[in-house]
Amino acid sequence: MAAVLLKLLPLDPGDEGTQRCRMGPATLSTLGARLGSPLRITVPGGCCLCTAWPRNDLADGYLQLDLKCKTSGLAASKLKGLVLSVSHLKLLACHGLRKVTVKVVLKNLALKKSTPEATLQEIVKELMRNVYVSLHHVVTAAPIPGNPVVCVEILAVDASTEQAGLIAPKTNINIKEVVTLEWYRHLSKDTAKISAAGMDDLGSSLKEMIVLPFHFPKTFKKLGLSVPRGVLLVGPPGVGKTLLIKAVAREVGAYLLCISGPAIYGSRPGESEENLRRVFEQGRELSSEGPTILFIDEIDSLCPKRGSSNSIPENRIVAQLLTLMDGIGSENEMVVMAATNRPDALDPALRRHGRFDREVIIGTPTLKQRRSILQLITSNMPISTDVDLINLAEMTTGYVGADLTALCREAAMQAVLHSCLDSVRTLINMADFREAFKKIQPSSFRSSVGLTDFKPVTWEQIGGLEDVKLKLKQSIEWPMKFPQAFVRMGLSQPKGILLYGPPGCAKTTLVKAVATSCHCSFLSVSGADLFSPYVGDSEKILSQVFRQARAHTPAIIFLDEIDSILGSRSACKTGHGAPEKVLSVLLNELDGVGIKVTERRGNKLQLEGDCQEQNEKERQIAFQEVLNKDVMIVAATNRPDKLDDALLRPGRLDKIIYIPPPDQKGRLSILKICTEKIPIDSDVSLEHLAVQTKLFSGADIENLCKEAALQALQENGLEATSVKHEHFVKSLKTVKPSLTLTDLDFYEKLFNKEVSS
Amino acid sequence: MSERSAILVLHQSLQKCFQAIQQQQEAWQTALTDCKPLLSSLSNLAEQMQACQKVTFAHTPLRGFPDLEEQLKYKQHCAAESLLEELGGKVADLQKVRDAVSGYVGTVFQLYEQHADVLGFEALVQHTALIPSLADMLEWLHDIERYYRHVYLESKLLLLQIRYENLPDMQTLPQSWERILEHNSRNMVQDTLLKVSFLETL
Repeated sequence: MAAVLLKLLPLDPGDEGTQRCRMGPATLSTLGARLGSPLRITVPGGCCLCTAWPRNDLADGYLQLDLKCKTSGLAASKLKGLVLSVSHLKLLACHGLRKVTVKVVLKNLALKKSTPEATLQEIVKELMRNVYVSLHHVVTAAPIPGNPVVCVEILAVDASTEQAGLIAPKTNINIKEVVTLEWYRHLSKDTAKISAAGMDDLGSSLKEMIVLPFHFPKTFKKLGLSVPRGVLLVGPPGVGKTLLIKAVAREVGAYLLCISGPAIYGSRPGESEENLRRVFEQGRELSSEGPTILFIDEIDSLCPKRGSSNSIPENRIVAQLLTLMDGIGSENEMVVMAATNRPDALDPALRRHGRFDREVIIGTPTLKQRRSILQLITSNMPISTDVDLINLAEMTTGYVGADLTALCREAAMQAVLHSCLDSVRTLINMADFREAFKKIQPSSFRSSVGLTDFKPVTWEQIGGLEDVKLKLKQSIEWPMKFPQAFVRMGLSQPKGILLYGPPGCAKTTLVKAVATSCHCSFLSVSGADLFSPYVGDSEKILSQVFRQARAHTPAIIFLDEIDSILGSRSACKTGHGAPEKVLSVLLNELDGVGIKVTERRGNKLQLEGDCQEQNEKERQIAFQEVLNKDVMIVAATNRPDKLDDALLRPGRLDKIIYIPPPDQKGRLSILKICTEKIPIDSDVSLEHLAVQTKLFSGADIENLCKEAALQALQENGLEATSVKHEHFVKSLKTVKPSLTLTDLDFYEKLFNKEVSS
Repeated sequence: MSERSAILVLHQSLQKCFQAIQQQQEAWQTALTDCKPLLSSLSNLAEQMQACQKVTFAHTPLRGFPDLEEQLKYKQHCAAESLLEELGGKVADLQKVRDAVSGYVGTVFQLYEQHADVLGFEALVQHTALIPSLADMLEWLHDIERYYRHVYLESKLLLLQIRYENLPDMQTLPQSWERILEHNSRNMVQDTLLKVSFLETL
């Protein structure tokens, strides 16, 4: 019997608003329902309360519903073509209600203001007469012209919740709340939480600001405080400014009213101001009903600096906005929030107390924040167990929330692509993430100056120089990989490293190896990037490079041929050229007073307190975060004597590493590396060659090997298969070492001088 | 009590109820028709008031009469107030009808509830060419009651909307009233009463 299915049909027009539900006699007798007894009908998306009546034609297998009294989520459009079983219908016991508490929804604010309470009470009473209700159900009012009431929600009834109650003429109807339709819709919208990870402290402070004045208005009045009403969010694009505001608004149930530049600007003069005024008026109306946030995204486009731009219309808009923000009286609870990534472009008059009281800076996420963002994104993705989010967070330096989302999406796409090709694998594994990592570049790096694409070089590809490699690893890799040991020993990361030595001795290659081995942002700046014909441009570019690098710590900035970029103040006569200015910028960036406020990142780190209860891994991450806050400079030159003394003092380029020409052992290993791809005959003795190539630099040796191979091709024709010893001997005659003893002496002396000083 | 006697009892009470409704319907109809001239005079008055507002008395030959404007306005207001009072009385009449009908319908349903256990479903829906089924008749009672409630509320809301500040709206009152009547023109009370005329012969 339970298998009897009922087809849902549209309602007869005559039955509309009667709360009847028509069914066949068999269904009626199955339920044991009398005429007009209340039924609860559960359908997907909610349930509704109806009274049972037989169909006029007494046909079975059909059901018609009138949705006069239903739960709020239920829409008539969802019911089309539905098939229900009898088990969805439930007969309810019924009793007269003595008292019912309701929330009345009115058509608009004007009606809410103009309708007196007594009249409203009377109308509601008339509307609700002889209606069966249940807790949390919404009774739709009849569409009568002049009727201000749209619907009535039942907040509380005097008896148990499961049953249906009949509202009799004697029932006492208590109107607890009166809201407008717009606000009601906003409240009953799906309240799926938007979550923003890594910004918990910011979110809670914003929430406090919105909610407190609304919930405790008397306290604030008593304290004589005016509540902060303006918040400016500053941060690079993609860090989640808009998302944060949306999440906060959703969480506190505030109405989010958005202003966008294009919607405000009008073609007629004065139209833009009018639009702005209208939006503020709308916000003011809404705020009389509940917390309202007026959100101005990309406020820099709406409010540029007044003096600098010549256009009068924009100035007028700025002025209008200023007056409107001042005019937000204390009688309503509207909070104005704005977001921008160019705070400097804003009109300074906006950034004062009373307008935007609070400025919140959201920086590029730090390691911890990235991890929590990744956790959030991957929380509803099928990822396999081998995905190490901490490792992923370490790899993604400089990625903002949007980039991380893109990364995860790309990884998922990779997984889908694989599963299309082979079996039914649906998990996303680390390999997918690595593949995605290659494709997704951090968005802030797209416009970067010093971003370079280089072929990865491993330490093994550089022959000899073992002690130099060790020194480099010590000063660059160790602080990143073993932060705990550094903190324990009271060491800090060196600020800068200078590599010097004769040309061709693998300085640049060493830096490449460094960049490959440690996962950090790598910016390479050359003179071509910096110098421009405009005065002050070079300095600006250099400081921009530093700003970007600071946003993506840990980062390495590599200045190749630093002697040509920076002059020496002592050596140069004039002292007013561009190189000197660049030098002063560099000195400041390396060891200046501090960084700009707008570059603040992360939250206040609590290294001491929190760490005790965290586990080992957590602590290590915390250490890593503290230690890797800084940008490291690596400079390379073969004219160290030309550098300014101020640059070479500790705290700036504090580690100076001499890269000597390869010794015999070094040459051998270089030869081995160079001849790896060249088929050499068994009679070639690399050891012998190493002895013979005194004063050859690494580049020279590479050249020698190439030359020998060419010789072999020249002699044996294009069918040559191996390089013989004689070819090396011949090429040794042509290839001369680029280093001279005097050169070496110069470097050695400089080295000694530095040691002695 | 057997099923037959239960049906008989219900039929009797239905008969009484429908007879009472017939009487009430007459009262209802008179109240409705009485409203119409009142509303049209109210709209006339509104027109006069508006005209009074438009004209500047100092520019007319009537300027010789002191305080004419104030006196005129006072008179108009008095007339409007008395008209509104009268209309209020008519609406109260409508409310009385509605309350009475609700009472009758309530008693019938109470009776049905008492006998519901005895009555089988077949007996409820059984009908002949002459006699409609009990279920239908109960449904009609519901509809009639709802109709009275609906029209009463509509006319009440119409009166509530009358404001002296909004004279143009006041002038359209007869039309709005017509609309209400037209809206409910399918006079289902009369129809239903015709349908149950067999009860007279019972």
